[in-house]
Order: sequence, then C-alpha cells, then structure tokens
Amino acid sequence: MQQLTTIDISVILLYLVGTLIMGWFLGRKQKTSTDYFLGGRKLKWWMVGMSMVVSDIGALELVGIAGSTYMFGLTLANFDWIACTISMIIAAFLFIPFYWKAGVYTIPEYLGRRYNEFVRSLVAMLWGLFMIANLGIFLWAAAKTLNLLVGWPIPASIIVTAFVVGFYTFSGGLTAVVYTDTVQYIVLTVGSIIILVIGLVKVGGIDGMVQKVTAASPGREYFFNLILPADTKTPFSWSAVLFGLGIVLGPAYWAGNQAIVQRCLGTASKREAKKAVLFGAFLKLFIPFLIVVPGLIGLALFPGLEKGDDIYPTMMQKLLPPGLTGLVFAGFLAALMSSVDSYLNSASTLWTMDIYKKYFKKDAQPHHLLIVGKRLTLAFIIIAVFMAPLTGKFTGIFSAMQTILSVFQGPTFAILLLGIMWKRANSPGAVAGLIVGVTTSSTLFWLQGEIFQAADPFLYIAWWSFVAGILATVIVSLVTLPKPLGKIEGLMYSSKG
Amino acid sequence: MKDVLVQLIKPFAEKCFDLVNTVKPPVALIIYVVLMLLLGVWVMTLKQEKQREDGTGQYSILHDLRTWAMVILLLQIIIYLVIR
Repeated sequence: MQQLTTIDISVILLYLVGTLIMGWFLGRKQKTSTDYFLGGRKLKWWMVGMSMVVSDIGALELVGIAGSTYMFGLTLANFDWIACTISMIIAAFLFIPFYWKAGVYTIPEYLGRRYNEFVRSLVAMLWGLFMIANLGIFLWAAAKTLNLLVGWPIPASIIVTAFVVGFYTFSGGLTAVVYTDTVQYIVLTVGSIIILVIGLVKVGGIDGMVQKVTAASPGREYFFNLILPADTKTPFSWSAVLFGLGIVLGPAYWAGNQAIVQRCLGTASKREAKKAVLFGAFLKLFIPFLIVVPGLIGLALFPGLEKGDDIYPTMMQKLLPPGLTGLVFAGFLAALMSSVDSYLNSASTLWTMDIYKKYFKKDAQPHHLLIVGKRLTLAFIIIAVFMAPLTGKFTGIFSAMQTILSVFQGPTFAILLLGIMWKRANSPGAVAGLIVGVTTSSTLFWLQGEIFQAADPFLYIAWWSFVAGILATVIVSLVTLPKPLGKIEGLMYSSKG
Repeated sequence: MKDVLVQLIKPFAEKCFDLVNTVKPPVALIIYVVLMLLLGVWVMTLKQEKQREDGTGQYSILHDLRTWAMVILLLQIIIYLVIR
C-alpha cells in the first residue's frame, strides 16, 4: 500500500476540484431538456469522439482488460480493435445518421417510432436497469482499486466517487459529461503512457517483456497471439471474437448503447455526428497499446497474482515514483468518472424521456423535463452507491459486465438492425425477437457448462441470441401485417444515405 | 428439463464447434482481413458528399469522410497482419 505524497494529493485534488467547477459552470445556463440531455446540440465533434472513447475505456476496462490480459494474453486487444473499428464505421455511416435525422433523444424512442411503444418501453426498461446496475459495478471497481492502492475504506471510496461524478453530471448534464470526458481522455492517456513507458523500461523493453511472459506462462504460447484457435479454453477463440464481438456486441455497443450514441445526438449536424464516431474509431486504434500491453507487462513483472483484476492497481502501486502516482491515479479516476457520468446521464435520459414523459406527463414542458432529469440523476447515483457492494460476488469485474450485456444486447441489436435495414420488420416481429432472443441467451447461460467447450462463453451466447432474435423477428414479421410505409419513412436505410 | 434441453442442443453445438475448429488461425486472419476490406468496399459505394462545409461545391478527398474510414480500416488491417 502506497502513501500518496503531497504532490500526488495536490494533483488529484486539482483534477477533482477542476472537474466539479467545470460541471457547475457549464450547467448554470441550461434551461431545457435539449440543453441537459443533448448538450443543446452544440457539442464539437472532436470532443464527442474523445468522450466516446474514454467513456468506453472506463475503470472497468482499465482494471478488467488488464486483468483479463494477465489471464489470457494479447487476444484482449480484439475488444478495442475488431470489436470497435468495424462497429464504429458501421455506426457512423449506417445508424448514427438516422438517429440524428430522426431528432430522437434515445434509441428506444427511435425503436418506438419504427415499431411500437411497447418495444420502446421494454428496451428502455432493460437499458435503464442495466445502466443503474453498471453504475454499481463501476463504483465498486473504483473502490477496490483505491483500497488496494492507498488503503481507503471501500464504503468511503464509493461515496466520494459518487459525490464528485454525481455533482457535475447533475449540474451540467451531457455538456458537462462531454467536456469533462475530454479532459479525462487527456489525463487518462498521459497516465497510461506513463505506466506503459515505466513498465517497459523495468521489464527490459518489448523483448524483455516477451521473454518474461513466456517464462511466467508455461504452456501458454498463445499469449502473444491476437487470433486464437476455436478449441482454446479461453472465452476468446477466433470464432467467438468474430461472431460474438465483431458482429454482435461491438455494433450493438457502438450503435445501440444509449450512453455512447447520446453524445453523437448532441452535435450540430449529421455530418458532425459521423465525424465524431470516425474520430473515436481512429483513437481506438491506439487504446490496446495503453491498456492491453500493460497487462502483459504486469504479468512479466508480477507473475504470481491470484486475481488478474489486481494487476492494474498493483502496477500503480509498485511501479510509480512519488509525484507520478498522483497523475496516473488521476488518470484512473478520469477513466472511472467518464464511464459513471455517461451511464448516469443516459439512465436519467432514458427514464425521463421514455418512461416519465411517455407514461406520467405526456405534455411535460422542456424545463420540467430538465428538472425531472436532474432529480433522476440524483436518485440513480444514490441507488448505485447501495448496489456497489453487491458486485463483490462476481469474480472478474469485466466478465460480469459482459455477461449482463450479452443477455439482452444481441436481441436488441437484432431488432435495431432489422428496423433500419428491412422495411418488412414490424412490431409483432420486434417483440417476438426480443422475447425469443432474451430467452435464448438466458437458456444458454443456464446450460453453458454442458454445451460450450470454452469457459465463460458469453461471446457465443451473444451471437446465438442475436441469431435467434433475427430469426424470430423475420418469421413473425412475415406472417403478420406490415407497418404502412408512410409511417416508417425516413427511419430506414437506403443506399442514397 | 435441463437434461432434455442439453440433449436437444448439444449435437447442434458440437457440429458448429467441429465446423469452426476446421478453420485454423491463419485462415481466420484472412477472414478478418477480407471482412474489413469488404466493409471498405461498402463504404466507398456510399454517396459522395458533394458540398464542403463552407458551402462551396468543390469536392475534396480530405473532406470526404469515406476517405478517413478507409484510412482507419487500412491501419487496422496492417495491425492485424503485423501482430496476428
């Protein structure tokens, strides 16, 4: 356990206080729901791009990906490469322009227009509950790391983190989220580069790292392979990565996750939204070097850890000299905060626009919705504080999140994709797709030990639930009446773009 | 109930596994690269943006977002070919 020096604490405090002030400052003139949930549609594309990336590589990824790399090797880089590049380009040209043009606040709102209000509400509830659960996981990840690093009690860490993020998100909505995310991206990148460089020096460069990892992992020659054979016992065979990650979970995340898509909706134009996503895809190319490689360095330097998730905090603790610890620690806090603020703001958006406005006050004025959004933001962060300790049940924070995602993300992406690409997809089909898809994934999770070769086959489960969702949607759509074309005009893809 | 479901699903699961297991990592790499190339082809078939942001009608390859998408895809392909 390391004692933070005065310089470290100063850097951290400067960062935290600066974030709080920025959030308050940005929110003081906001008057409407568009201001609060969509940044007044004035967000700059490059800030949105950075925000998307740093929201994705939150504390969960810093801890979880480095931890999974420690256990499974370089193949984890696929989560930032093939899972993101293809998905973000598809999102930029196929999905985002439609959301932007439709003028929606949320993806469920788009689904409601394309299908019906039941689909909208069901997806909103699923995502809304998932986001709140994720908030708890994020807070837990932070608290564990803070406890390992500086010995802070877990409950206190949860509360402090929740307060800081909750304050600026409550104050400034999406604008505060994106602006602070931009700062957080820079801080995180600098912090990660520091860990990477110091780690590489200590381990003796790339060659030294390869040598030591090979020696530390007898029988695991695949540690430096991006593409693993289908019969690997890890969850990351080439087929699981391609089908489950590249085709389903990746696009489902970048085109179907409210927390990611919402910031694109805050840009000034459709073209700006596309630019933001492409910029994010470009930045993503470098992320594995900052997050995955440190996991390998950690294995080279500290081969005996029982839990892979402990490697990132261990490296922060043992590699960094006083002074730099504060900066890297601020980088970790930046990663954590960027994910929490995104999910918090998006959960509030979903519940305000898709549940409250839909069912409780249809004629709510924009200012009223802003107030409701703020109150829900406050409520959700408080709920997350109480849910955080439940996360301790899952071994591997990263796997926990991916498991939850893969239960319903495949089916929801199935109906989203068909909704945009196929005019015959209709409301009964979408409902059937969701029900069959979620039933499929739940069943496969229940049976996983008996059916799948790989341990933790969440990628395969995501793929098959997506396939089931597609089939159910297609079959039911074909045997039921189509939606009139006039009602779905402008909501579907054509090659004209 | 669990046993019944396992008996129903397992043969299909084993067939799928046998199928993907015939594809070795070097061939899988080719599949990855080809998919990215196909995505690039699709991107290039999209409508060209005729007008610049400043309102002039002059087309510029750097102004075209498809160009940047191709750059990203090519970088990604290079990464996979080098690291594998």
